[in-house]
Amino acid sequence: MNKDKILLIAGCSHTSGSEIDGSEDSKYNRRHSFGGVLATQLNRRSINIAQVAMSNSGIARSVMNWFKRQYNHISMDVAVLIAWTESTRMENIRIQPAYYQSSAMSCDWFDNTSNDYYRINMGFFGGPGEDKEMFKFFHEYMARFPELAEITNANYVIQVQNYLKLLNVPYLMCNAMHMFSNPPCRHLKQYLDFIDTDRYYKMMDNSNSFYTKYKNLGYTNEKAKYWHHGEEPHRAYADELYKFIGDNHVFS
Amino acid sequence: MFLVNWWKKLKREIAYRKRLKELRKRDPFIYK
Repeated sequence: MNKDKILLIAGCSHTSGSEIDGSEDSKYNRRHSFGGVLATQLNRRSINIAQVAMSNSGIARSVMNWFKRQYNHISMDVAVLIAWTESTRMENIRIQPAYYQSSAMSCDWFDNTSNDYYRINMGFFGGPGEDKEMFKFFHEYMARFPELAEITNANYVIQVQNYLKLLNVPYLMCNAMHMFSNPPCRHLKQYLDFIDTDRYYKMMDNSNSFYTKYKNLGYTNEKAKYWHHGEEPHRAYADELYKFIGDNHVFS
Repeated sequence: MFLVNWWKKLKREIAYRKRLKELRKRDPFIYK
């Protein structure tokens, strides 16, 4: 039986290819995102479940939920690409669910659990009707204890890594934005020691994370309203990942 | 003593404000 060869792609707006064509989300964006290009290079069908403004806790949950609800080991041959986002981002539980589908209309599979959490990002002070004081409180927490945020994020990485290793599913991780401070404090290092760096592209190199690297190289996307990259950086980053996969036999 | 505590608190607050500014710059993304 021929298995359906899939590349499951998870991450934040960068991974969804947000604003490549100027729109927040579209099939075109996802096809031309670095994950979409990489899937073509690997001859795999892409399933891009990345959502705009997602935090790393949401990304980790979306991957595990996809496997819980969609995965069939008999008919599917799945490889996973996870691009972690900015490590300061957090989630807080919400009683009244949100409707984030509106910003992820072209998502190949939408993880509904993301609607049960506020998305607390550093540049975002709450949407209409949302508790602004709560956002302020968490921003303060992030700024006062950034090391703790990074330790929490290391735990998300370990969580997904061990889950995928348990399922015997090949995966590759990379950073879309700043993830871990370098050099790490000794507390963070106690967790980083448990991460498999052969399956994590440039884990500690923040200046080579997708957004930062191509921003520093001077790439600008005139169509973008919120600073996301255009097609060219996505293609170049897919090439980087493809080379790393080949050199380190990540998917074989 | 009061002045020393006040100075320490002020220094902590300045460092926090600086850090907040840096982090906001690091993650400038806004969504609708």
